[in-house]
Amino acid sequence: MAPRWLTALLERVLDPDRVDDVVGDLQELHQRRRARRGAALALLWTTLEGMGLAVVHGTGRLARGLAQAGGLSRVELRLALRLLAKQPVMTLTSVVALGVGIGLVAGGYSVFRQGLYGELPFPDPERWVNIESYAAESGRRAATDLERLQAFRASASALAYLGAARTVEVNVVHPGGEIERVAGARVTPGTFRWLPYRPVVGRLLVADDGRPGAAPVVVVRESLWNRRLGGDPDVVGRILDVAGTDHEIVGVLPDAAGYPAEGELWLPLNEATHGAVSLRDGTDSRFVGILAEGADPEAARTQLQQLSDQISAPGRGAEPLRYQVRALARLMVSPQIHVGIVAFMSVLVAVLVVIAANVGNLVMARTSRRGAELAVRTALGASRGRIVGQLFAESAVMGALAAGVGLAGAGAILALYDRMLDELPFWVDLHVAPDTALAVAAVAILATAVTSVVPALRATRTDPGDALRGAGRGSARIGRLGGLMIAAEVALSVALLGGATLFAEGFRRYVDPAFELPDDQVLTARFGLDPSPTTLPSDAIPPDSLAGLMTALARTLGEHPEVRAVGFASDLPRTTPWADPIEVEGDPTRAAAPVVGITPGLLLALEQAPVTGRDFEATDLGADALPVALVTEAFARSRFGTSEVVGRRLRRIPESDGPGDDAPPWRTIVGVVPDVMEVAGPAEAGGVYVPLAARRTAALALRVDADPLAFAGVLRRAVYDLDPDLRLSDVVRLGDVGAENRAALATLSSGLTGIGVVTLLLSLAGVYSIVSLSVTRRTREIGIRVALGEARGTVLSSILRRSGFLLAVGAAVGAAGGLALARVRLFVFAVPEAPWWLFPGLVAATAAAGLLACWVPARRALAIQPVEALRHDG
Amino acid sequence: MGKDTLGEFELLVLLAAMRLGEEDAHALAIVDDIEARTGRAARRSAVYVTLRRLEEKGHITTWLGDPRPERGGKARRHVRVEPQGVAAVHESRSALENMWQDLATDPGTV
Repeated sequence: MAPRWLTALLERVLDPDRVDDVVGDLQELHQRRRARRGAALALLWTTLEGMGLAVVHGTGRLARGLAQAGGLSRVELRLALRLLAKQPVMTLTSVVALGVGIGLVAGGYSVFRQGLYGELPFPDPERWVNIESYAAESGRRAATDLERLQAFRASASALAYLGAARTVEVNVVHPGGEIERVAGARVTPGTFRWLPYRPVVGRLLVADDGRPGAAPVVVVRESLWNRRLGGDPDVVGRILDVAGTDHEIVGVLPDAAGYPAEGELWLPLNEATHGAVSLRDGTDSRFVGILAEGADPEAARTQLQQLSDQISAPGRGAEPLRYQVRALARLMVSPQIHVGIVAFMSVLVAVLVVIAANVGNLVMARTSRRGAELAVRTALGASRGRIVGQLFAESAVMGALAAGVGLAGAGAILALYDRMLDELPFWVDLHVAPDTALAVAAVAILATAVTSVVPALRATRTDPGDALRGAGRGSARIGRLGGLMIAAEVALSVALLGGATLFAEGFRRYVDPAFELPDDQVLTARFGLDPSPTTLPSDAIPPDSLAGLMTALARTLGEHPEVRAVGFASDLPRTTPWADPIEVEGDPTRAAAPVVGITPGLLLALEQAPVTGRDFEATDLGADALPVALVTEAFARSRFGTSEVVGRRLRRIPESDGPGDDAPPWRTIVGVVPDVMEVAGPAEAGGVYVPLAARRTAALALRVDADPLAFAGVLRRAVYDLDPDLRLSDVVRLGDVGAENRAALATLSSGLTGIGVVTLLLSLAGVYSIVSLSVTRRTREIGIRVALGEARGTVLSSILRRSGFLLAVGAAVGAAGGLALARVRLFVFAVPEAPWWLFPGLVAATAAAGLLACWVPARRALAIQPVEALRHDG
Repeated sequence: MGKDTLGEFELLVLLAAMRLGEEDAHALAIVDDIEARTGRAARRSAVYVTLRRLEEKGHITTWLGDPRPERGGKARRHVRVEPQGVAAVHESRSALENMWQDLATDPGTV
């Protein structure tokens, strides 16, 4: 088939009633060409033809639309489009560059506004508040206890309602026995009174659903209802197996209902105790407060703090807590971050300004070359307004095209990220808001149009006769500011290109790991405990119970003949674990290395065996086992200088210099294993494995003889049979671990390179226009100098001096900026150090390209015949 | 002659559509037919524009057929030449023939 983007483009630009025949014909021809000429040629041919069709049909429609919108005549617009099409390279460069600038500003602004200053899609959004509690002494997040909760519910008059919500993932067992992991939420039912949601079928959760002993009920989202329940209008009363318990479906909520997250089912939380979930450890249950009418967050905070202080008064034994209350849709932003955001936005705006100014330069250069044409039109009776309007139309069309390109690009990228980032709060819907789009587009179009009016006014001021004789030539010139802008743009493009090159290299190393693993034979998943009210409030799951579950699961799975090995780990290969400072006995230097917890089966599942020493054994996992560790070969070499390290000792360095008894124990190295760990730091540093400590979640790796994905059902069933509440997610082949992350980084990487190339092209076009202008303006001078016998080299250098200087300054500043950019460690993978030749190479390449851009007009200058120059200027 | 005089390309398109018949006449087939018989390349966008103009003049009517998989699920636009179109073709033909008649006996020497 023809490329999707092409057919989508055609569907947009063609008349709706002709789409089927034109796009269909294109598809049919594409098939024929494929059969005759092969896929590659067919693709090329079809793409060219499709683009041609889009331009032919698109410009006509665009002209009609713009004419209606802008009050300009159709002829003017057609003329403008034709002129732009006649200079495709310049038009394309300007449109893409302006589009990038517009897209950056619109996209960046949208992200910050929606991410940080979003608004809830509810009535009275300002009354919804987030309540957080911290231990007064340590400042760490601390849970609110039942006594305080009851005091708040009884006496905090600033709050009209105090509930809780928590996002969960639960196992739903469908009638066929298939187990599906479904995202949802547990919410105190009283919350629904404050939400604007109307059920599609049945009812919402009501207070009674949250009473102790109430029958288990569930409200499902429209998407789940359609997907799994056939959109049955009589669904109310049907039973859904949620986390091993039968729940009665009482209602269906529309897809638009997003509170508290984008899950597909809602389960009630105990209204009085909040399921006691928020009272325990750091689970992510959150208080939800609705302020009483007229109350503000500060009043609520004061009240809660007073009530809390009464409970923790001396002699009462309760821990003192500190409370914070803030608007729900306001993420916590420290002043520093705020300054950072403002700075970042300013940079984006500066990029747009630099680009727009350069496009202005180009327009000016072009206008000055059209002096004769404009003079002829004036002489033929065109009014000054008419001509200025014509030039204005040209720039406006270019601005509009750029705004379209930029906004569409920003919209597509935001939509991609909105889908990929599932951790975004429910009220954040990443998109380019219409008002933002409108404002940015208007500013951009206006800016380019204004830049065209100035030279247009100047060009039409000259007497037509003078203009025709050439006296009016070169009335436009690129001033000091224009030069500065070009230098800034060269700097920007060199910095971006350098940064992008390094980033791409880091990314390449990240995705092309230096070691082989059986990517296609290993099934992986995240696996863990998910506390739920079915086991609450007495649900104190001992944190080490996962160890027992892991052993049981490994045993069950091991009974399948296809399974060769099962192992668990804190981090899977193909993901990059965080590095911790590690101290080696007898060596006081501290260096960071990743520490990964694993169980005995993991290395087997990855088909790795110790090079020397032994693998972990079941006895190493026990609570009273001797602390041991495995190290990778690279770690042994870099830290000990030898691979004979069995028996040596190392330990994690405590985060702070606290009391000595908190210091992690020394671990004895029992084996050295191959380098199969992703390392974020310098690649040669290697990493450390320790027996997997008690934790709530772990990753699982399963080496099977069958197709791993075909084994996923067996795995789900085994986990479910062990405990319906267990969480199993991200079931993918080892080769696909982290694939989304990599895709996002690949987009970023190519985006950076693309922006760098576009800005570089634009700055080169800018250099070209400077030299070209200066040649035109100095035709007479050059002619005389050549006539008087001055060496051509001297003449040339006097023309190129200014551009050369701009290029040099820009490239040098850009190289410095790029080096600084490369040092910022923002990403999960290491951006490599810049090789010595990178930035000098970029500077040289920019200079070479710049000289090439100068060459064309410079040659024109030297070809000027003295007699001709003098006659023309006569 | 009236305002409905056919242009040369319009005439070619109409003739191809008549020859192909209602079932097989659509833009791609018309392009192929013209190319095969005249030996010169016909631009597809020109055929679209011409078909549209002929339809506006009432010489042909068009309708969409069934969606086809080889067209990415899109339908073909079929062409039927209306009696008015047939009449226009005949009128063009007799006009051309009349013009030829006044020339020398061997038209090849023109």
